[in-house]
Amino acid sequence: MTRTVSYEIYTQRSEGWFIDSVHDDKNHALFEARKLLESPRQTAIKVVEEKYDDETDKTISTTIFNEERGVVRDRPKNYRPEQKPDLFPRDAVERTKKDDTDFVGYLVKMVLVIGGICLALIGAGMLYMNFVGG
Amino acid sequence: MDTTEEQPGGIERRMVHRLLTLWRDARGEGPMPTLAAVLAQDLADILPDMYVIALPPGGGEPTFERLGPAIAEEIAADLVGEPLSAVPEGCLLKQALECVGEVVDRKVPMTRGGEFTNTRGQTILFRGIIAPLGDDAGSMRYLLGAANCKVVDAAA
Repeated sequence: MTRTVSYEIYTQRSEGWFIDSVHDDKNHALFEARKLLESPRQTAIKVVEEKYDDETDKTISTTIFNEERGVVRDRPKNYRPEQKPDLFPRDAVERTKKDDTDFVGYLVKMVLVIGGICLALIGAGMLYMNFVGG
Repeated sequence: MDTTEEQPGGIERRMVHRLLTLWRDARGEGPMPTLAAVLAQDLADILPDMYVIALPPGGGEPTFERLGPAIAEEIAADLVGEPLSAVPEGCLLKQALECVGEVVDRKVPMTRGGEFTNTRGQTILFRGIIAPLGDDAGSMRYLLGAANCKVVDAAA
């Protein structure tokens, strides 16, 4: 019976997990994974141990390293990291800008309406004064 | 103490790590770097142990494009332009090339090491890396490899 073991490093991108490299040495794979996690381009790294048994023709995959930048966790191999909450979602920003624009429009309308009413009242007052005075 | 935080042990592991790092830097956001992008990096300390394999566009057996002086010296032959099958048995390069097929299939860098007995009967520990290189269109055109080794001290 022959067992072949390899260690696959995966990096996370917006589209999912992508294989980065394959190593035959566990310590070297873990070293590379930790080094990769230091890169500003990487957000999450995992190392999967692949054990192939030629007698059963089966491969057993085990995640032996799974870390996000600044977070250390122990997770099952098929784990997909949850979406981080977006503190400044684009639609929220756009919504805020839209709300601001609406508010300014409302203020302008109110000023025009109130101004119109005031002018009408002043005009009416002046007419009344003319009638009374005349 | 977590030993994986340290630099990988031995000059051979450091070389593999360095070449992999250079390969990643040259790759940028693409799937694999070009040969020119890798050669533009500071490879001075790796060049003696490095080799480049050309993959024929229409298939067929890959051939050596470049061979570092340390690799060429061990096999005592200039294999540039020669197919991989021309590599003699019992040498570092022969061992290092064992994962060529898998690198071509998977299109990702692979590192491997092990032990073998050379033609002088010495037990040799080796470590190597082979990484894919593409052209501007992203197709795999070359393989970049490096390998080095040390004689296992019989008295050890």
